[in-house]
Amino acid sequence: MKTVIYTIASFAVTLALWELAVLAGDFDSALFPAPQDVAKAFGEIVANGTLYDGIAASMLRFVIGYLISVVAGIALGLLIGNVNVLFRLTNPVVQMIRPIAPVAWMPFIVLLIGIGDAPAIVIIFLAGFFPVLLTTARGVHSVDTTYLKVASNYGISRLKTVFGIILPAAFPQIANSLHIALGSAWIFLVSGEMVGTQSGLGYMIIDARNNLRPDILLATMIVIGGIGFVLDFLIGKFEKKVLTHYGVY
Amino acid sequence: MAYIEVRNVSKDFKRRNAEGKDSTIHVLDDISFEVEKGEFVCLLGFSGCGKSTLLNMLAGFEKPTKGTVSIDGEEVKKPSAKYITIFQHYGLLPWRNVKKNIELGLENKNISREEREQAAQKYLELVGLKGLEQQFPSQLSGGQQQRVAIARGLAVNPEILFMDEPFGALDPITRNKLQGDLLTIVKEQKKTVIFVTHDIEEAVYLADRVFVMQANPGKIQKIYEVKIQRPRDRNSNGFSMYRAAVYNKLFSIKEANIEYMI
Repeated sequence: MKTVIYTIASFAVTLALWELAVLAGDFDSALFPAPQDVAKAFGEIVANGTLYDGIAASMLRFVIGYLISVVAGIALGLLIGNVNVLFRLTNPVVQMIRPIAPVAWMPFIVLLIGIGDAPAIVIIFLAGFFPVLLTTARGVHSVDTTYLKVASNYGISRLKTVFGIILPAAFPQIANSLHIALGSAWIFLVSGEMVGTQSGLGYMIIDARNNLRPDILLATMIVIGGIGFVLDFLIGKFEKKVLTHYGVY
Repeated sequence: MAYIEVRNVSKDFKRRNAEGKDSTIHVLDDISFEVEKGEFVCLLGFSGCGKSTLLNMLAGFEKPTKGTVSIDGEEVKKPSAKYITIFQHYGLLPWRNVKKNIELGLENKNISREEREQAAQKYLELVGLKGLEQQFPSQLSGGQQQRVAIARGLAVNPEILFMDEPFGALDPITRNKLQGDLLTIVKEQKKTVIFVTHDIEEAVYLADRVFVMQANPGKIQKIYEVKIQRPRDRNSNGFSMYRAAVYNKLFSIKEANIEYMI
């Protein structure tokens, strides 16, 4: 109950400060819209369907990019985590590629495969892939050696050990990386869509700027934040469920 | 030929010291002994005497640097489900419930699901956990978790139980209860047990023979044959006598070492 009150208060104070800034500041009202203008713009993009289309386009790319990054990250993470030669061979390059911001890949990808859905999906993939890959590999490395002893004691095959013991044992850590990957994938989705696409929430921001509609721009930003918040909440619930199941909580 | 034969076993570990140089630690030095089928043997010693390392080699998790370990006439080269190890921290899979944990070792055997479930149920009842089939390890006490681990081990019908300080993390009351129950079970099921502990009373209570080990390098200092009738009374004179004898042996070893090191 207290959380609800604090949440409402938090938004109320922010709105009040915003309103105050608009009233007190010496900005052109067309460039710095007040909360009620943004609310009106929100109504406008809901009514004419552009918001729905934007969310649909973004979510599609997001789901594809995120799922590929998760599946590839876990699969390859299990592989390099279990085969030490592969880990030592790939780790230096991975460590060098990882700090390159996914957006920095954009021009290269657009030149290579052109504009459209693909570059945005690649960006989301890049944002999600490395945290999942490295956490999975690390999770495999930190599996309690007792489990491995148990597996070899009972004559459990290598393959069954990987999928039946190592993967579930590392899963609480992997679930945490899925949480982190989801957040960064969502953040980079918008940057990906600001270049090289003609739809989606990121594109709506560019479009609003080009049409000098900061009210729509801010409304879109708030929607992006709202969806990110909901996604984070959902995966947080998933993570907690996993941890409970594995007896961590 | 004895059932378990350990012949001139030594074990060295390579460690990197603080200066980054590799050094060799001589953990076990030229150990030989024999154990007969159905015997209950306790390896007793301070931390670092190599008793767990010795157990790991018997169980096939590690190889001796020198010497051989053989069981039933065959040299031990890798772990086998014929010899099950029970660990101090149980090694239960937290994502499986009690029943599924007990079934773990039966899953790659060619038996039907019904047989598997019957076996799990049988050993669950044997260790006194009937009714807890659906619980997860995190919902159980330490003593209950170790009972599950013992049931999981017995379910594959091993000939030997290797136990690595299995009751070391339990409170004294639970430990005493489990010691009694373990003895009943292994005598009834005719298992050979090699049991690592640093608890003198535990060793004297459980073992047919107590191997007192010394450290730096690890050796078997003396073997006590505990000739007290079972069930043993921890407060009897005979029990106290053995406990005192083992205690004096164990601590004189330690004092001798300290003198030596100075």
